[in-house]
Amino acid sequence: MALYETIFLARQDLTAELVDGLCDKFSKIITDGNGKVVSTEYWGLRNFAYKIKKHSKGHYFLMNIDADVPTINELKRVMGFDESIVRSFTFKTNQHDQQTALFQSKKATDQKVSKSKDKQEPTPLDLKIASVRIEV
Amino acid sequence: MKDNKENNNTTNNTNNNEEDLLKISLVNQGVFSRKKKKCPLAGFEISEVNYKNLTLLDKFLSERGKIYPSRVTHVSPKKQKALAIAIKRARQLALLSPIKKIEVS
Repeated sequence: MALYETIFLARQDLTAELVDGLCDKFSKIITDGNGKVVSTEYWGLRNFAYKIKKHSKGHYFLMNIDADVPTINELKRVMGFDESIVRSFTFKTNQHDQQTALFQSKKATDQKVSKSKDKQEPTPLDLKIASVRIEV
Repeated sequence: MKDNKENNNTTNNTNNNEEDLLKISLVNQGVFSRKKKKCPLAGFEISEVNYKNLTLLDKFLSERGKIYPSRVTHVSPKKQKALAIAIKRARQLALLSPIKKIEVS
């Protein structure tokens, strides 16, 4: 067993339920192959930095996975065929991160849309990043 | 030659901490010393330099969107390698653009 993280960019016109449906579909493949989904992160509907297959927006979804190589290969194969996915990547990692800076909710349906941006307290990592200064 | 000698005197007088200084000797010229440059990512673990910390990655990109060389930023070789991988992954995921256009005023 090894640790992986998978990110897929789903099409813009999908509803939150459909995005969760994709997540359930993929997690079923992993559990069938004796793997485990450690955690999931929904990053919201984000603008792409450049156009991918004529799409300029997409749902970002991250899955932290603990599984074997054959199940990961099967997951990649299924993701490649799925038409509602614009792009997907699977990386091998040494350890899974806790909630990342891009985290919005665990599932797409749980996402709270708040127009007034609540000022959250900066984490220690944010303060460390703010102290980095590059002089060129 | 004259300029070098003058520089030697000034640097030796001003900097007393020997650990922070890097001594360089040249042929036919005296030993001169200059300040050691610290890695700006010295306080970070390698796992923290990943493609999810976009605010961190942005600091190592030029206004055109290119990666600054470690020769300029003084990042240590291990961190520079992790940084390059992180930036390239973020570009593949369309979180960062591979190139930025500069608006001409």
